[in-house]
Amino acid sequence: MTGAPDGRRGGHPRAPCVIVLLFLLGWLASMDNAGAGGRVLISTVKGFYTTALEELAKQYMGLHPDVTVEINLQPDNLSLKRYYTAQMAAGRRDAPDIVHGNILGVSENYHAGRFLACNAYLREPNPYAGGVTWESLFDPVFLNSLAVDGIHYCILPLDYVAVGIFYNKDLFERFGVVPPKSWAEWITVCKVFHDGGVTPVSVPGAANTDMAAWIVGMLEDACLRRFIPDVIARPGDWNYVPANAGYGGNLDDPYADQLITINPERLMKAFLDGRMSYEQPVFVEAYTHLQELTQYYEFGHLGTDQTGAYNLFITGKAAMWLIGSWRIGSPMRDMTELPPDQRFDWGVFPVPSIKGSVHGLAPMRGIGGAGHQLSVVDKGDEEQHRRVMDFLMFLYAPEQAAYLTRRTLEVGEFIQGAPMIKGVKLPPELAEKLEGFGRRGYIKGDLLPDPNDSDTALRIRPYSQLLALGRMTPKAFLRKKQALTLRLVRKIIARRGYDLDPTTEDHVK
Amino acid sequence: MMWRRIVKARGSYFLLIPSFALAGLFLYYPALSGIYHAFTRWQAVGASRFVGLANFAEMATDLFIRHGVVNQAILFLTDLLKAMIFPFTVAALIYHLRSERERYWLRTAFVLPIITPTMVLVLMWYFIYDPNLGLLNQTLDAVGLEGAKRPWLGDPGVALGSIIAMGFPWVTGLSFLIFLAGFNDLPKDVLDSASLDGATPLSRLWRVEMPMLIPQFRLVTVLTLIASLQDFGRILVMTSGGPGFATYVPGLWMYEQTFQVSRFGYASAIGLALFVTILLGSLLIFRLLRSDMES
Repeated sequence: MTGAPDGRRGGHPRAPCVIVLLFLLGWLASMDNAGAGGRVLISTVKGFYTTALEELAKQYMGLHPDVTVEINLQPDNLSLKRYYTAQMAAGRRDAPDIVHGNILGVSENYHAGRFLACNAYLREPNPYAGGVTWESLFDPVFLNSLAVDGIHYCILPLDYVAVGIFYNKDLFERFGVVPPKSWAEWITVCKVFHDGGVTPVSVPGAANTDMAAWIVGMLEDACLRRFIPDVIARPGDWNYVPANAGYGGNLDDPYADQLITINPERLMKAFLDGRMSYEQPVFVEAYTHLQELTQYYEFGHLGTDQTGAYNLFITGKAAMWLIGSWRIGSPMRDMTELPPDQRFDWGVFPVPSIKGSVHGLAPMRGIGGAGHQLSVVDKGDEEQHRRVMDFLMFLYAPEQAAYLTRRTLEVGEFIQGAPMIKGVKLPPELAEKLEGFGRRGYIKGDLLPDPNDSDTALRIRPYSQLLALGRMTPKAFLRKKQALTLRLVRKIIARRGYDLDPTTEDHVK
Repeated sequence: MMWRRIVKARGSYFLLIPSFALAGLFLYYPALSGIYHAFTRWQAVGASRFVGLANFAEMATDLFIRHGVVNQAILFLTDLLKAMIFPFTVAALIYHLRSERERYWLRTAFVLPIITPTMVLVLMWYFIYDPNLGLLNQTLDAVGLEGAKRPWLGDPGVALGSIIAMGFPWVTGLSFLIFLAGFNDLPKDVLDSASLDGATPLSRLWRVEMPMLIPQFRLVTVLTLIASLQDFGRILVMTSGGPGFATYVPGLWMYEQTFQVSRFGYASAIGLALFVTILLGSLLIFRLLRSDMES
């Protein structure tokens, strides 16, 4: 038998009352916490613009005292994925409004209807950018490349990543050379340094950090673009899109093929028929140039990792360093910590094109693309969406985007590349370095049967290394590569059930 | 009789069930599953399909396996030499020291490095071998031997040798302890008799002590065989099998086929082949290294 402590049976049920009261107070407090104007929750990974983002959020709250901007930081990509998935599974109410979209897998999220379509918002004026339409602040090539059938699922690029050559300006001056404008000039510059006892190019070449593969990717893109007219999706093909109609085949326009669609069955057939083959002279030319370059990589480059390659550059032992824009903060930070007599001026130039190609190699393009992408979660609440968009317009305005980049580098965090927003004004020294990567489009991966096939990549790796060491001729290497590519093509055809008729869509078996 | 005992001690057996169940689930089931899947085609998605000996036929023509077997044989032989000669020599020297105090401190000094995680040692050697800033090439530079500098991990001609040289002076803790324990267990009367019969220290070592240490040699050989065939971690970190095929071993190819290519059936076949090799090798070692005393 139970009863009240004082012995009275059926006394006041104080404990349950207190619990209910506390619950109500908590609920009211959480309502209050959101502010009358509401709350915007951003979830991202620590280190990605964190400090600047927090400071801008404070600035925004100063402008809009009724809105609370909260930043939820996750320690790594996996944690962000777990957090986001759990919150979405719990009904979206408490899920973040803005997430680091490209970490979460953009396509699976918009296909699942989790990201908000934001075409209408993009056409609105941005009050934080002098009233110009928000859309006009983005580079249309990148913005459109992230759209699906013309719908922008609010996957908004903040910056773009690129690969380039960091170079020691002081060493260049001492040796009387200038940043090369063509591949031939690059080889000449390399030779000057080599003869002078300085490592010409520092490239991480160890198997787990093989960044020399980037140059291979660029060279192959320069070879493959000539095959586009043969493999582009045409009217009647199962994956034809009207955007293809505008393709003029101008190889000098780096963006001409960015939005076109390749028909994979035409591609597979072209490889099987031998119309596309690594044994064609254009590839032999490209790989001959590549092998000529590899002799100027640092001593033992196949055993050098990222740290080793960087150390060579920062200690002035290598004149050039092949790396991506996300490392721009490293020499900027480390240069200030070096003794004054060891500091040097440095810049960036893009991997030069092969000019006067015998077999029609196209100009080189970059590797990379849109880097940091913020996405808006569709919560089915128009008022909340409007609030989130207003904050994003603030963040994606030129002044704030410039602050984001500058401040991130100041505090030693890392940016992924140059800001994407038009009109961003950066300090001249930083702007010059970021501009050095060159805006010249990005390689088109669709022109390879499956560039992400691990099995083929593993099987080709030993031969790539032997080629780099000069122990295999380009022709012998390309023979192996062609054989492995045909093996891959047959595997893909079997796996996807292709009948090699480009007009019929086949289903995965 | 046995059943009666089990019934009598049923409480104890009942408490053992979780241990056996977990061992079965996490140790025996995956191993047996691996044996079954060695005969199947099993990718990341979809059900596995029985393909008979097709995986083994593929292994016979696989260039990575062919190079890997040769490299593995070289690694095993050198691992064996490293596990035998140096630990045995050091154990013999320490055992024959007169001072108990010196023996204690030296034994401790050679055993202490066991506490260093293997991966730390591997990474330390990775830095030693760095072609431009590593300790080895820097030292060669400093002593005027620039000509001897090599890209230790980046040249197919020297990469396997560099992997073999890792861990110098190779007085591995476990082998050393096994030999030292063996020495400590040697019967004093036999050793005293040998000395009284006029055996020199060297002849006593060769004719009396080493024959009595055959079980230790056998154990070290079997353990080295197992460790050598299973340990691809050092190669994964140092070279990932390259340059070219210079340092590939079957274990590394099995790992890559599993975790990078998701060809679980083929990887299981490589794993089964390694298991059979270790099993047959161990049986052979036990047969060859049977001492007269044991027989």
